[in-house]
Amino acid sequence: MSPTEHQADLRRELEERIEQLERADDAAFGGFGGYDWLVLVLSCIVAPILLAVAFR
Amino acid sequence: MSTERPGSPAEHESLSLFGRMPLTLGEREYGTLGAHGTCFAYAIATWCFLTGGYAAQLVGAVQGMVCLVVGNVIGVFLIAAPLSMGCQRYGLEQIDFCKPSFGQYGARVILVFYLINMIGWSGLILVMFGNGIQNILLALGQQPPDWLVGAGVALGIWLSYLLATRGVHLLKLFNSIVTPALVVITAFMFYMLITSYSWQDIVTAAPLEPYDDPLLNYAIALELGVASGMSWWGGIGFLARNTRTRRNAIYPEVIQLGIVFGIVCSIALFSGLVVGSDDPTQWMVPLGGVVMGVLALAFVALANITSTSISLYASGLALRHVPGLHQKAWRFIIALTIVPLCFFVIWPQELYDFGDAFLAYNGTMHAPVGGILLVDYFFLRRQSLNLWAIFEAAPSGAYHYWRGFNVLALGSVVIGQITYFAVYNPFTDAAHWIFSFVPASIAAFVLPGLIYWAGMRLWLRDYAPTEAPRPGGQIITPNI
Repeated sequence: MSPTEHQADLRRELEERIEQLERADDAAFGGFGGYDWLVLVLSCIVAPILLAVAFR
Repeated sequence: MSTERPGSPAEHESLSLFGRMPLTLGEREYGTLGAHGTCFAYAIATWCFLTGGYAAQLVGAVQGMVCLVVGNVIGVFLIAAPLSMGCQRYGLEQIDFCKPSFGQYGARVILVFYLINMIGWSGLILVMFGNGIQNILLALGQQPPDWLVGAGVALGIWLSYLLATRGVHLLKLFNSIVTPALVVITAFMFYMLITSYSWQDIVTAAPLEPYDDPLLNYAIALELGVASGMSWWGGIGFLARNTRTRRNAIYPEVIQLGIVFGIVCSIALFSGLVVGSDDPTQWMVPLGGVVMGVLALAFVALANITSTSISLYASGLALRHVPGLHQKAWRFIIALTIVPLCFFVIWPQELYDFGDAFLAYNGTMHAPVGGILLVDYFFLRRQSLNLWAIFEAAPSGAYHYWRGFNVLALGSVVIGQITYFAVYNPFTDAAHWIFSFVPASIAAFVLPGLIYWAGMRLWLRDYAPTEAPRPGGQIITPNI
């Protein structure tokens, strides 16, 4: 394979991957909804701030 | 060039696993266990002891534990939220994820800081590995030669090289063995400490070198926690990119890099308070004899090698952005990441003494970059990136900005750094009154994020459409 053909092959491969990832249904990447954000915000922001203030 | 036959499926896979090609779902290694195991193995290294040791200078056991756990969790969450969601959804390498906000070439500026962070940390913990060998020999009554620490660093580099060049799959396998061992040894170290000194001794122990103002001590310790949490910035994208689900991308990072890291830091805090040393290869020997010392050294070796190999792997992927290295053999790339580490072989102690300054530098750097990425991904682009534009080097690309640089984002980083120093100077410990209420890292996270948001909305609104444009499925000049 010549360098030019190789570059063209890599470009094709990259474009195929981009197509695949952009067209994929969001659900294929695992659910992550409002409940997850609520848990994360409460446990990683709200509760730690309350703890930090309480022990100041 | 890559060692696989050009154009073969093996080469394509190699250029995604060992390169910047976006990873498809089928190529990703980490399920729930794998993600937790790798995050744990990455989190647990002697940087825990360094951080816990600093906290012991300022605050007691309870306040210190709160600062380390709470600060880490807040820092990790803020920094991980955009990176883990974006890199997981699009299979992106971390510096590629920075392109929508910083521009095609602007992201390379971030790359420089990224590499300094990853390589610097690796060097520091490898020196701690070398110091561990020296400590054990001293405990055995031997007089170690001067070159021993450097030799320990060299051994650590070699082992990390072996792991990093074998790929994510072997890293995962190695971590699945190392993680249970690390859990057992960490629990045992805590057990040794708690049986040698009562919990009451630990809780009532005074901090080692506090300032007169208790509020300032608390604020600095909390800042240490938040800055440590944010300094995971370098590894987040690599871990998230290799996970199959969004939950596996963020929960293990928050739990392992945030909570578990904070708890292990606290063991060093406790040992620092009651024994006067945060280095387990020093305090385990008086408590349990040479066998315990060797166990501690095994811990340091396993923990630091796994963390260094993950850092080298992530650094290697980032180096793929450098023109000329896009398709070079993976071993060559990893060998390049090792070159700066060789300075730690020659001058281990001299470079280790820059550790304080390095920690301070990390704190000022990660917060503004993290604030900008969070605003960009969630509030400007609404979690929708244009993958075509990320891999487009032509000036017509949507993320090209001004000659490849988003000056607004880069300027916001500088403002963030200035903000950090205005609130708290980590070199002199001089603090603004606001520091008693807001950690410097949080101020340096929020302000650049707000400036960037306002600038993009008012000035560069064309560059931040909420829906990704689709330029017809073709790239003019691929940057890969």
